[in-house]
Amino acid sequence: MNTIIIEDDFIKNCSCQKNIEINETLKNELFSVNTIEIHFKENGKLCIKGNQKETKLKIIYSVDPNVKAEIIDMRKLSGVKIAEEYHLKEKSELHIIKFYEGFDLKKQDTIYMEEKGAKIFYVLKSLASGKQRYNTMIYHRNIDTSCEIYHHGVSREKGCISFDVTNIIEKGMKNTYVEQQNRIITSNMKLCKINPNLIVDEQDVIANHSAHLGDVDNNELFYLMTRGINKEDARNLLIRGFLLDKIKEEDISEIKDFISFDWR
Amino acid sequence: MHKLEIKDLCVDIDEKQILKNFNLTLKEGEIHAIMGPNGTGKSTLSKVIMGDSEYTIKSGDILYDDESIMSLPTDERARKGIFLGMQMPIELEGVTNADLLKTALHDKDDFKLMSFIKELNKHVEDLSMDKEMIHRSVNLGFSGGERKKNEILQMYMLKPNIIILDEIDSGLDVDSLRIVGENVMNYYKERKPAILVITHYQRLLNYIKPDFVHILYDGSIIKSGDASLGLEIEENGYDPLKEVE
Ligand SMILES: Nc1ncnc2c1ncn2[C@@H]1O[C@H](COP(=O)(O)OP(=O)(O)OP(=O)(O)O)[C@@H](O)[C@H]1O
Ligand SMILES: [Mg+2]
Repeated sequence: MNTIIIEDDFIKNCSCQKNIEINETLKNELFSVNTIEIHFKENGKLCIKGNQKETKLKIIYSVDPNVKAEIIDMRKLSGVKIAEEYHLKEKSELHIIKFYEGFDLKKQDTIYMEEKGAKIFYVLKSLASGKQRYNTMIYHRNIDTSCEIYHHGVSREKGCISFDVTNIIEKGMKNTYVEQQNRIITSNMKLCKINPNLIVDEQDVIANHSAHLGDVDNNELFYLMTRGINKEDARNLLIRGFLLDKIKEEDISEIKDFISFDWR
Repeated sequence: MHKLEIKDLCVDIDEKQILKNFNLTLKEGEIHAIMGPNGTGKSTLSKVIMGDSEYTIKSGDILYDDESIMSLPTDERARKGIFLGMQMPIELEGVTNADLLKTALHDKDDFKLMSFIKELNKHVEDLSMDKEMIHRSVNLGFSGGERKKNEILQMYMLKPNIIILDEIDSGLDVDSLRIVGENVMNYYKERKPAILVITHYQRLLNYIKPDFVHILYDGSIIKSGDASLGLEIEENGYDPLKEVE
């Protein structure tokens, strides 16, 4: 598989075929952070593995017309600020799974559905032991675009997570489809926040969103415990199910290898 | 010989009294049936036996082999060998049947993955279930009948000695009812557990033949008898019994 290994704010290793173009611009007088550009020129799948500490980084993704791109992005993070931009051209499709584990993080994602028929399936899973803020904006700037976007977080001991997710559908952007789901499992509700937004200035759209913040469900715990599973294992089973929801079988083993969680 | 005793149990939910001085003893090898109108506390009883924390126990005791289990958490009660097949088995997104059973059984000393898989496959076949169900999320998108069969599958794998089946017949078509009934009886012949079936219909009792039938009304047992009591209820309903009370 095409793979990029990111260490702090630079590419440590890159093995990609020519369907995916990778460019790295190191910080200079004009740009204060290193920038990585990832350009899908043909169909392909890319795996990103990152280990980032106390750093800042910008990544710009673009997907050419009619190209189907797939990304699995797994990172261990601590004290990191990341800004990412996505540019989707006509009838392009991006399927992206992000699995982040770690401590403090500030993440700003801006997704531009630039041309008609662009499609994105975006899943973020976060296992947070620190303070993590995710701010995601999706601009629907043409007709027939589709965005399925899931933010799923689990806050560990002192973890706190906040999700701000905004879909913006401007006037005239007919036949736009949005499915936005935000969920956080936490035993301390006060530390977590979900702020979902849909800004819609067009009639001809389908836009759904749901948000849930809370601990694992007591009825689900009870059911598992009646099968002789202790509370801790039952909780772990439910969280594992939550973390692997929406992820394809083929990606699950990659994730299990990279992310430290009691997968069993 | 294993035994479950429920003594003078009074249970409330939200200040409302549901069970009132409820008494029942289940011994290994015995089959009991509880019948009773909707909302009289049958499911409440089954969940209280398992230690559901939603209910408040006002007084009384539950003993397993002469020892109180009231302070034990649900999972420990289950590991002693008490099993509850639920009226409404819940959906667990992302947790497969295989995950659930492996987690439930892997601590047992004699757990071996190969024989686990073999056994699981055999019971899936016996219950005429789709093999795929093992790898699907528990009860997610299962039909009513499939959920009930799945409860019996878990019962088989966990090998309990006290079995409570809460309306295991609801949602089953005639063939599934026969399959579930026969499977429960096969388990009974093999391991001689105590069984408590909660049902509204005599038809289940044609397969799972009870030694005792109890009528639960308004939180306590108002009449007990043998299998003929089930037939009587089917014929006349609960009204004649209310008058006796
Ligand atoms: N979690 C709960 N919260 C509030 N009320 C409850 C709860 N569980 C049960 N009850 C109430 O307790 C009473 C007994 O309910 P239960 O489910 O035990 O009845 P049941 O005999 O099993 O009825 P059915 O035959 O319809 O299954 C009902 O009035 C019900 O509404
Ligand atoms: Mg009931």
